[in-house]
Amino acid sequence: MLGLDIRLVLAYLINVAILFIFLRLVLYKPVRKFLKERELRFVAQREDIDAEKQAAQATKEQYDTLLQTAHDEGAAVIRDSRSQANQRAEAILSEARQQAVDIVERARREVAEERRVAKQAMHDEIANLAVEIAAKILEREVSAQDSKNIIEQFLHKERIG
Amino acid sequence: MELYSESLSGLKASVDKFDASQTGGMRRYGTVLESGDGIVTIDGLLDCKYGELLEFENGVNGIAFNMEEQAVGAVLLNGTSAIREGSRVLGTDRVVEVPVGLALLGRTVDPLGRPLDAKGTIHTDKFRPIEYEASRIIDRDAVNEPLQTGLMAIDSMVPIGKGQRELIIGDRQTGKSAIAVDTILNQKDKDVLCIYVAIGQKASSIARIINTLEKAGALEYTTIVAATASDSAPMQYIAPYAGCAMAEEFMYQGRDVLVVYDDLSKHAVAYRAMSLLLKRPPGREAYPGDVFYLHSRLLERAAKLSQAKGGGSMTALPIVETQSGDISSYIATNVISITDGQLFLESELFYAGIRPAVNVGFSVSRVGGSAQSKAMRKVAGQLRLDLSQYREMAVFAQFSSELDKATQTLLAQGERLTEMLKQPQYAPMAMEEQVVLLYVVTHRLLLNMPLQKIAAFKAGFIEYMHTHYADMMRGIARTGRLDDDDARCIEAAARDFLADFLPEEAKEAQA
Amino acid sequence: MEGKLIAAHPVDDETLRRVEERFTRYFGQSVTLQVELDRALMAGFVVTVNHLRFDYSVRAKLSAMKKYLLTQQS
Repeated sequence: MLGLDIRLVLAYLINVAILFIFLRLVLYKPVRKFLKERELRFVAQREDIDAEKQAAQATKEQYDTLLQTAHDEGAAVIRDSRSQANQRAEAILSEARQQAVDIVERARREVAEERRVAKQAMHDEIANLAVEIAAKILEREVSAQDSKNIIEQFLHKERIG
Repeated sequence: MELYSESLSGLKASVDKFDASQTGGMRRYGTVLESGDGIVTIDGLLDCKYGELLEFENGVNGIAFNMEEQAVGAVLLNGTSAIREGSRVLGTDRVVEVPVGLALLGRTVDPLGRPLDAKGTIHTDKFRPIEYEASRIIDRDAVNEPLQTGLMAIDSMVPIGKGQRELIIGDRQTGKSAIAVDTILNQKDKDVLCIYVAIGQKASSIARIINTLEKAGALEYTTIVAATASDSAPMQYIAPYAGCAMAEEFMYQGRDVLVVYDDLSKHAVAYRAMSLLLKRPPGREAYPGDVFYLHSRLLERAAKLSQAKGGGSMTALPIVETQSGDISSYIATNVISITDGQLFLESELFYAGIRPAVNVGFSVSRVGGSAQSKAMRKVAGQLRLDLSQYREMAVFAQFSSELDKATQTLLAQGERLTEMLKQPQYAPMAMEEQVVLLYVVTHRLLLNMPLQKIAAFKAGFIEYMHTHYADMMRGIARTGRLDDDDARCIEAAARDFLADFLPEEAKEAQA
Repeated sequence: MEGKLIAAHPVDDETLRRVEERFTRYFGQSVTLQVELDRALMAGFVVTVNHLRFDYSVRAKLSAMKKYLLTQQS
């Protein structure tokens, strides 16, 4: 004989069966569960990463537009200021031009004034000189007859004083 | 050469016109009995008029002041040493007159109208007596037009109108003459003629003022009447009346005139010296009994005329100097009761850096709001209130960290207002500029501004407004009104400007 | 009334009398004049009486002419 005992084989078979069922409960199922969970976790993580990637993309786009807007606004401000500055420069220039005109006008008036003063001074000097000359001449030219004439003229005046 | 022939032909024409037969007239004369200290007693000179101009020998002139039965007492205007007992005095039948008219503008003259500058003779055919009756009540109009001084502290709270008399009173070196000069400078292109009467001042001070006016182009509409400290008391006495007569000429022609009398204290002293020598009895503080009349008849001639009389005006700015802030002295109280208000300048304010050193509490303008543009009235109403509240609380300023928020705000606002009202000399501000700045500060937009930066803010903001809102500024200047649109513009402009001017503080305010 | 007649040239008695009479008529009172000589008048005379001065000399005319011319505009 083989020495095989049907009862032993059966016992072994039942052993294996029990072991198998036991293992399946204790090891196989939890491990499978564990593996499944792990896979699910991975999937979830992958989904998260994708979502964040999208969010990052969206933020980047937002930043880009912001930068662009800021850039545009900056350019607009520069344009604006430039035109303001030009306007101001123009105003200052026209003011300066006006002042130049005023200065010329003032100079002209001053020259006219000086001329007037000089003319007056000359007039006065000539007047003084003329009267002095007249006095010098009269000093010598007048006579007692002139005095008499003056007295006669006075005596014949209707009103005196 | 052409100058010569022109003047020659003019002379020839005059000579032809001259009527020699008119000479040889009769003139009243008198003989000097006594002479001393510039006072002369004259025998004769019958029918002499009070205040008549007298001719002594050697070109000396005098005024008849004491009419007695047998003698006439006269004061000499110049050359006191040349008059001796027995010399002859001729009457002129003219009360003291001065030349008036446009020929006086730009010139510096003495109280008799004789030129003191080197610009030649003054040629005018119009003369006015220095004493003249003030205009009647029926010929006057109410003061309704502002006279801009260009000084924010004054134009906002103590405004002056055309035809008003506003006294500038304070101790020495408080900026009294400076306010007057700044006002004259601000009348450029405003069609207001100015007359500055210097009584008893140093010739160097007067020279400096003339220089300042000339540099600013203000001399062409100003006349200076100068009786320096070395001129005789009678000359100093007639100086303000001479200036007033010159102003009256323009006023009755329908023009607006500004007259500054600098100063009436020295004028009263000169009059006192003259009266004592004329042996008139001295009264309080040795002044003669009619020292009130001395100033009242001078200042009453300043007026705003009715349209029927031409609508002209004469604004008077008399200056009185006090000792140690004593405004209850004789002359000060006299002039205060005559004028339509006073600007009270204090040494403490001056040395604390508040210039113009106007004490807003004691200063008053009895014409007030009717002499202000509507725009200014709007912004200035709040100003006085804020400042008076500030003054009440000012003593607690050192404890500001321990006070409640409302008081702290009050103090901060008051400090900024005071800082805003400071103004450097020779820098008058246009009305619209003042309105804009006062609007910004009274609407509490500057509470976060550090005090040292306010001066820079003033200059910067004005520049900003002229650049970006030039039309609105011109509109305010032209119409004198500030409507709601303008107000909004100013607020917006202020916020924009402040954002750049004070970036940190602006962010803080927004937070 | 007493006064003075200052003349540029000597005056004879007849002339003096006539002048005195003219002034007597003017004042309504008797006028007597003391005569003085002053060449500086050039010609003519000056009478001072009753605190009134009557100047009819050439010097006065010249002086008036000068004053007039100097106040004229050129």
